Amino acid sequence: MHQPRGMAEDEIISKCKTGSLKHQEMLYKLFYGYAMGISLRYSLNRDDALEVVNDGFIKIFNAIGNYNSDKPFKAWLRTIVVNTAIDRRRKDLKFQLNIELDDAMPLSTGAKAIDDLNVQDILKLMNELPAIQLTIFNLYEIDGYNHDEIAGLLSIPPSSSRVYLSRAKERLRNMLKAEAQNNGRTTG
Amino acid sequence: MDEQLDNELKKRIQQVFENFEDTTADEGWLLLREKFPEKESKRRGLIWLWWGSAAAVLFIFLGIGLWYFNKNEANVQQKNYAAQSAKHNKLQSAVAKKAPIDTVKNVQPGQAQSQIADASGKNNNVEKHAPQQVQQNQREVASIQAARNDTVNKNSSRGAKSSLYSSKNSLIAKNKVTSQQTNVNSDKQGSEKSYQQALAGSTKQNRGKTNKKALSPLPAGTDKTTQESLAANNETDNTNNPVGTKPQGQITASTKTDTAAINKIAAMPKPAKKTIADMFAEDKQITLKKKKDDTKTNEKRVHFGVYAATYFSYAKGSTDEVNMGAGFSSDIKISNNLKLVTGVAIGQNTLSYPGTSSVDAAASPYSFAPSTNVAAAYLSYAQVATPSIKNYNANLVGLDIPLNLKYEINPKKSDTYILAGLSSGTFINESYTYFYNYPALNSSTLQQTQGATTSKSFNSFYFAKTLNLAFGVGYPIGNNHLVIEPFLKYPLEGLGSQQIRFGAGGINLKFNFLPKK
Repeated sequence: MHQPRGMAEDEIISKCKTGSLKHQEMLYKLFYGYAMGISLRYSLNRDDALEVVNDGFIKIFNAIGNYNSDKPFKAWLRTIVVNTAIDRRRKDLKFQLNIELDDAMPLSTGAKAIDDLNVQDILKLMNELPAIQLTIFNLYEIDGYNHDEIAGLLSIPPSSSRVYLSRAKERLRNMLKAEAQNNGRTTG
Repeated sequence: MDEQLDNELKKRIQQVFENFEDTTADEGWLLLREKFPEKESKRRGLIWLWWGSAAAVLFIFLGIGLWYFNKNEANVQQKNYAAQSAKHNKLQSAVAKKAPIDTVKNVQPGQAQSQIADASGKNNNVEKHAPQQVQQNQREVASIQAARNDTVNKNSSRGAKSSLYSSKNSLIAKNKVTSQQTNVNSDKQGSEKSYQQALAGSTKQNRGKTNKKALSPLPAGTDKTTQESLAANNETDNTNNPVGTKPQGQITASTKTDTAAINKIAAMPKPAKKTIADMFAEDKQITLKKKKDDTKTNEKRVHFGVYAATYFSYAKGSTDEVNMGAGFSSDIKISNNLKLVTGVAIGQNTLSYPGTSSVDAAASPYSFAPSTNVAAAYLSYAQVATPSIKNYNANLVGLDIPLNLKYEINPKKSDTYILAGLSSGTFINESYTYFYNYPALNSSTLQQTQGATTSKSFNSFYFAKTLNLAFGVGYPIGNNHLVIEPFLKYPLEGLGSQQIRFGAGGINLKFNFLPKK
């Protein structure tokens, strides 16, 4: 990141508490990339992700007076963005909880070896997952929530969370393997 | 095998998104500004509306209270004289003894007693002298009544004149104010319009920008564009870096090339923007300047606030009455944690003493000498004819000048404090109303008539006779603070012309204006 950190971050946050619009802008720009990185993983597309980020920052600016500066700001931001993204997709999630999911072969992602996956590759891969699986995979594997927390957040039993996670992983594995095979054929 | 794949994928996702960079922060901020300032202004508007309506209600109640109080006072006086004269007429026909109700009512308790004592001294000749005394009483009453009616009429006519005059003035003032307000409003509207036009222009431009440039690299609502851009990206990746040939150490490099590729697609001439570094440099300069100014202003810093209070007035023997008040305060900084708080407040204190009769016939001081038959007869009369106080109300509209010390518990983190000090002041209006039970001699039932009201204005100034204790918690609202302050006022000595020891306990709702930083 090209922005100054540490002391500057604390200073910006303390000024944001006084309602300074200028410092709110600075905070926004300082953590925009980080927030987008989280939001993109949970959203359907970039517009959705941007709206999630903006809604999240509005929540932050309104509640920053209650923020405890002893705790890391990034963790607080992450929680707010994740919750905002889930709230936004809650309709999709509810709908998908009630339907049978077909295990049709996913579309080609054009993926490469795991270490070569870039942002677009990963997003493409993840967008092949149903919303509920994608959300649970993100929450558990990337953002470090446990199954009980996920169950509370999504109003589902923890056992369902485990099932959806294993399905998501299996699906991702299949996609990666299929891509590896395709690439092997084309190169071979 | 599967687990290893899962772990590798997980690590890769974490790496990629932890260091995710996005160049569209400026556009994102402009989109946020479309929602965020509007919300803020709406909220501020609502807060001001709430405060305005609360203040208006408060002032209306205060105005009605004062008006009613003044009106009631005049009515009570008129009614009293009418009721008393009627009473006297009745008594004249029924009683042959002297019954100084009129004088008892208006005269101090000591005088009343002496008159009654005089009357008891003349007990032997009571029946003989009765007609003469009645005539005398009639003359006295008539003369007093005539004199007072004159003054009442004069006062009422003066009151009417003055009210007309004041209403005229208020109308003129209102017209002036409204004309000024319309000017101000028109100015405001003009400036708001121009601001909105400017904002609309800028947002239009920005929307154009975002649609054209910034949002194009990733799927902006359409998957087609994403796929196209991805296809282009993948092609270059595939040709330059075939699968499996790229070393692991180039992870960050690859993400950078990805973003660079995105930037290429998005690459369009952009207007010069302020980077965060520029903003920091600018901010530092401003803060350095401000620090110098602040050090000067900090020493003299005074904060002002307004507050509305709702409280119970309490006193020994009185029922607790709910009252209201309002005032403004100023906080003068002494040290980091300590402030001197002073100001002016106007508040009403109503006290009601039910049932206790100070002129109780059975317990009256002249009941100790029933040695003769006449005295016994008088006592029996006194028990029947002497008025007894049914109720006693005190209504004091006070001007309170507190001088308190405020200790802020943690001024940097929260606005929580304790406050203690003393209050001085005066009473704008003091009125004491006695409600008597006048016995009707023809019947055994009691007939209630309202008694005397005595009122005084700015009678005396009391100094440091009330102890103030309070605890406050503040909540930030923009640059200002809303403070909820439970308080207790404890009387150290008697207050007002009747030297009543009364206090109050309740809640102040305070709005502290903080200077803009």
